[in-house]
Amino acid sequence: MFNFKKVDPTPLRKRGSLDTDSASQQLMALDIVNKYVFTDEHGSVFHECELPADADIYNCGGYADKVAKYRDPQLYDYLKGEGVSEKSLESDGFPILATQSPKLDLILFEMIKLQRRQNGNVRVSLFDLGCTVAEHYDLLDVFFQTEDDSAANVLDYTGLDQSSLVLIAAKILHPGLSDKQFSLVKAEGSQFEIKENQFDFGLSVGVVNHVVDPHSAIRKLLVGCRLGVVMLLWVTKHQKGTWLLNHSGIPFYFFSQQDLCDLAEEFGMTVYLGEFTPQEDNSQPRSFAGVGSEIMEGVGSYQVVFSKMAQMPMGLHALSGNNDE
Amino acid sequence: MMNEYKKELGWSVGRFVYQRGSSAPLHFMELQDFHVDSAQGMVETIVLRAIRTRLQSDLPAGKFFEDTKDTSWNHIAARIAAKIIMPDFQAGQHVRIVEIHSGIGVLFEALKLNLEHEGLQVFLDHIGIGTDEYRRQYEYIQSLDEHASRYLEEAEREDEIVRLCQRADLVVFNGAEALTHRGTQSIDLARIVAAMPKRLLVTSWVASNENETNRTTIKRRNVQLPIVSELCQILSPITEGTQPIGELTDGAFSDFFLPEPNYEDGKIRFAIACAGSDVSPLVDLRSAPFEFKSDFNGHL
Repeated sequence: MFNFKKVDPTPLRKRGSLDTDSASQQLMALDIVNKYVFTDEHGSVFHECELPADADIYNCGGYADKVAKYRDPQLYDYLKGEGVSEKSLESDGFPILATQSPKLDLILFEMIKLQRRQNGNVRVSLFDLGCTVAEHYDLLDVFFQTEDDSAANVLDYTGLDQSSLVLIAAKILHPGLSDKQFSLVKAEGSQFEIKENQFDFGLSVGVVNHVVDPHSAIRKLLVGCRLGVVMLLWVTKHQKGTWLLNHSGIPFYFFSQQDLCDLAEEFGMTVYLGEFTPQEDNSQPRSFAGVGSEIMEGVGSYQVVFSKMAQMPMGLHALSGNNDE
Repeated sequence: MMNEYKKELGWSVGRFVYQRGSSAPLHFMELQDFHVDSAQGMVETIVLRAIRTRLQSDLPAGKFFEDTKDTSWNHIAARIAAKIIMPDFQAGQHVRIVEIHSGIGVLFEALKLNLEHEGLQVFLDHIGIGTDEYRRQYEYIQSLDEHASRYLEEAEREDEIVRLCQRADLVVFNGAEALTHRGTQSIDLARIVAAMPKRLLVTSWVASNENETNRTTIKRRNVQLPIVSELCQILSPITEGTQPIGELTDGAFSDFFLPEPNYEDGKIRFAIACAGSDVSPLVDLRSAPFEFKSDFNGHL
């Protein structure tokens, strides 16, 4: 018989011995392992069971699970009955709706509706940077279906990701759509070709921060998407942006608010900030290794919208920039 | 003998980051339940379907498939299920399959691949039965394919499940898969055997002796594993006069069970048993020594 107690295997971090201002901060080679670990009363390892190491497996499986949740007929019935709104997303019955990602889909949904209302319900092109299995397409589709429409009828969707696995999954999970309705591109998130005003809208949720060149990725989005880009971005409240290392050993850039204002000005857009989620309230609060509290304070994710639209839905707060088009 | 061993254990599951060469973790990020419980099955199903639909067979995650196809109960059992079906069915026919503890249907997907690989174009009517935890995933991922499928929660009326098993061309009792599942499973093998299905395929972990059957999984669940003779005994109403045949392997996922330091032997094996079908070269399970490891791994 075993009695179990959940433990934190890295109390070092709590003591701050890996703070960035400590002497231990130096370049080092890392080994990263996914596993179950069981420790005895002395803290010695009693048993380990390794899990697949490939991060793609977790990404793909997790997001494919999300698609299945979005496609739950009961979720559609609920949204059809309640209407798609900020309030209806805060549902006890469907916790998946109360997460960050659907709120961004809602902002985009409202922007697309506004655009279509003003332009005779024309089809809208959407570029999804870091699309994984294209789960945003599914929730947008559910949103449109509640208004007796569909993503297939409204969107020319293009998703980009660097993972073959998630793109194959995206293809499998979205059968029966034409290349115009649904296309996929394999590329690194800052090293892709995009033409000026190639798309109407852009979307990127939690991706731009950890591509090879985050500034270049945003610039490409702002060049390529003529009406606006909706993003979830990790932002620091400090004056300058900062690079950290995430749990997978990947460099991760936190934008400063000044970075965002500079980009908006460069592209003649207005930048709007929506909800802020402090890092400690994120679904993966321990995403960053070796970071002291002075850095993590004021760090979190913002709903960020760059827009050239004259009107904006949902009362988003304009951080700065132009709003004259 | 009762297992009187008691131990307090701390546990964690997630991504551990070490300085190279060190055993002290620098950093830990917990994996969420959906990563640990659902991701792998979802990805296995997607990779199998990608291979089936020729979308791509050289996925990076294909290595994961390659690494597990000879050791996963779902993949081995699917190959044997194909061997059971092939002699008795012809192209264009429907094959009714009931799978108890199907999860999201990895075995079902692997079975489709094996049959297609062999060029037998039958129509599969699959009914997955299990806890409500897997209904949504099963229904969604299987609805995207041309084979018929539906999911039945095991809490449905017992007589309905019995009736389905009696009508099925093949019943699969995926007991090994069930141990990995969330939710409480209420259907045991004896109930399915009592339905006297025409053909039955069973996956199960088995203990080496009757004193060492109580085990704990990494999901902190206490389970009681059968020994081989008990498994054969449970199957005997169907196998009477014939042999319960099957395969014992030293399962690659034995880390799924916590070690039991007070057990003398402590070994477990993964068994696949067939009843109502003659699939050579599976061995007679009644006489298969626990240490036996055949060369057969179900490859067609």
